[in-house]
Amino acid sequence: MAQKTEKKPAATGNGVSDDLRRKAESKNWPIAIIEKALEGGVKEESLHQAMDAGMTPMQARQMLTEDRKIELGLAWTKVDTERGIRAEVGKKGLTIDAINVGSYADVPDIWPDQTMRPRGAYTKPGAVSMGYTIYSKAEVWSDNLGELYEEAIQRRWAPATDIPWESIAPLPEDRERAIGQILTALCEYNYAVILSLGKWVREVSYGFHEVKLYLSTVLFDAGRHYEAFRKRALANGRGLGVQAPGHRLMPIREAMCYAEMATVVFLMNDSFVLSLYQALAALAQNDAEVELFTLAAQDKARHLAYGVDHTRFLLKHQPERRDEIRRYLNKAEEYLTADRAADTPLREALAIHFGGGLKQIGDGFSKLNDFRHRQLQTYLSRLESAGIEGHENVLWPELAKDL
Amino acid sequence: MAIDQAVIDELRKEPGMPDIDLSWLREEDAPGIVAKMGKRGLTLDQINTGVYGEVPETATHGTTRSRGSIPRAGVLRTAYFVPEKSDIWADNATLIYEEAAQRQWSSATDIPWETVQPLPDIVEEAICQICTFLTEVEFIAGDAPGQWLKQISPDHYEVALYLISQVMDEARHLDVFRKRALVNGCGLLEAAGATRGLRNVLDSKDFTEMSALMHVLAEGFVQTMFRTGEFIAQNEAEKMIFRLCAQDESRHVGFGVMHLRYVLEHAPERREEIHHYLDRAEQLFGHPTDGGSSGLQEALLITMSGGTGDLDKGAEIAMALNKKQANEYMHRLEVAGLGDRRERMNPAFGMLLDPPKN
Repeated sequence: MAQKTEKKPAATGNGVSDDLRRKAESKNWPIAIIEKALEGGVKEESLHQAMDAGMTPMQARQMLTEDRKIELGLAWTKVDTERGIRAEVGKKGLTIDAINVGSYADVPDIWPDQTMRPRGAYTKPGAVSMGYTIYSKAEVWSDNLGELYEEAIQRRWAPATDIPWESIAPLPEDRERAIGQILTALCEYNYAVILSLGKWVREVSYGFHEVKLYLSTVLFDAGRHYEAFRKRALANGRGLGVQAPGHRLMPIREAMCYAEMATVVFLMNDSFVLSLYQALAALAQNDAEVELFTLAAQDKARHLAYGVDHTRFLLKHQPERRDEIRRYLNKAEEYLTADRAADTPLREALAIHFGGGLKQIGDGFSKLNDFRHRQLQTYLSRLESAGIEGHENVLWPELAKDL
Repeated sequence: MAIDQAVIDELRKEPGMPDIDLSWLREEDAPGIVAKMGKRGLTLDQINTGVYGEVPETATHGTTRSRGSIPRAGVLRTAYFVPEKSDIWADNATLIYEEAAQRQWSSATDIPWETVQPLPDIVEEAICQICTFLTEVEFIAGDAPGQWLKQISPDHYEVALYLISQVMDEARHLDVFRKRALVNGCGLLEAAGATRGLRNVLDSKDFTEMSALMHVLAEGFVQTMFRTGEFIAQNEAEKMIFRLCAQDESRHVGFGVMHLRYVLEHAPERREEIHHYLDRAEQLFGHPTDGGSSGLQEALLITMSGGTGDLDKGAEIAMALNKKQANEYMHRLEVAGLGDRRERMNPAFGMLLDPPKN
């Protein structure tokens, strides 16, 4: 019986087929590389594909031959970047601020580069744009970015293991449902921040890497808060409550520029949220809630610190934007009050929580009013720190009622 | 236990009591649930019980409503999300996220920077060239998952949490490689300046496309490089950097592999489409027309050789690394269910593959 055999291409004396030889010549591949590859067991078909795919003879030689002579170009060692940098390790380790030395610390007011070039590196001409949209330092910058970034990393915590969940004992139905309702609203707020920041991290150009690093920690914090609050809601018998109306999230979603988003999230909303976290820590019903809200407040304080310092930086360098920032604040205030008006479950849950139970809900409403007054005063003082004075005179009218 | 309606009625009669509704306290709206702690604490898997653990195949609302909470009428929409679970899901997202939360590290204090001692100029330059390249790469690896966050529904929040953990990891990588470049007398050198292969990741218009390109291909190659970091590292600090980064990258690759597997199991009709993405990505990955990676190749050769004296030694290690990268890439594809990739892999990688086992 005749055996079926593969048809082999016509080969020359040294085992290289005519087809392969022609292709090697047209692609400027030395025939010696082809011979070496075939000797090494590489299939002829693979060599055709390699040449068609654009592999260079140098790459092929590196991969295929053993007795090569390697020559280095070393052009990359001759580029014009600052040398001799020896950043020093300080008490807090080698921080991001510690490596801001020499020209590497020069953060230009306008980043001139659309490529993925890190600040201080050299890019060969011809590098392509990466599609970033934020090139203005004032739009994103704050002088405390490096410090906040390193602090966020040092103070990391894991909800799964750093919260003493075992300390949560069964609570009265009204108390458990109330905290579940409050956490439902806080989960949604944090998720809205996640949706927004993911977009903005991408928009910041590489010259301002401190901003990207810092925003990454905020994203991680927001994810952790979402996770931790959901876990608390599901840990003790009742679960999540009724969805929030979502009005207050609209200005976050609709922010058209970074400064608008930062004003709405880090300055306005985070101020109110931080006050709430702190109140929840003070009113905690077990050790788990003490730890949970204390740690969350610690994170939130960093976000707010950026919000205040960023606004101060922005107004110092672009004072003409003061009224614009006020408009963003007023919009966020308007939507916050719309949310409060529509969110009966949250309002009642806060009253139950503040009062200490359903039967004390009347007292709870009174305490809630006091809390909102303090929340607003704190917000106004933070605005003042950010360089926005006299905002009490232009507060959104519905919110001003809390004064 | 339900709230006593009589108490509510009495409260309404109290003088000075604001209007109260309290209908949200209805018994039927509160499914009983007590998530139990496990050996690893109270994890996401532990709280995925009852209605809270029911991940819908299709996310049907565009709001920020948390999965399992009670829907409210009239809520404004927040975003258009990728609706189909099969387009974004991976079964190991929760596990990976929890691991990421446990294994965060600090580039400021967890790296023994004091072990970085003066090196011969050419070796220090080579290390700094590698760090320059990696700083660039990590920018992309953070931006790409970040830009997908806004399309992940809270019904599939586990994926969002995983993506966030990756953004955080990549920020730390960017930071640690920049720190290394600036700590020992050299500095940053030549940036590749957006290679086509990397921009391809940012350009992806489909989540699975992005994941296959970034997690499985690009990060897979980087992870293999990090895992062989002892051949590049010149001191304990660098060894620690590569070790910790490799640990992080393993999670990213793990997500990508399991996502691809999930897609192929639940949407098998996408197989050819995914091959097409990889055809293009493999061709662009390290494409000779980029001209951006020669510095990296030479720098790797120098560090692996311990200088310029015996470049053959470095070339041998580099060759072994290339083979390892290609073979591990193929193995990951096999685990994902794309073993038929072997037959159509770009020859630049395909010729490095060992024969299939069995």
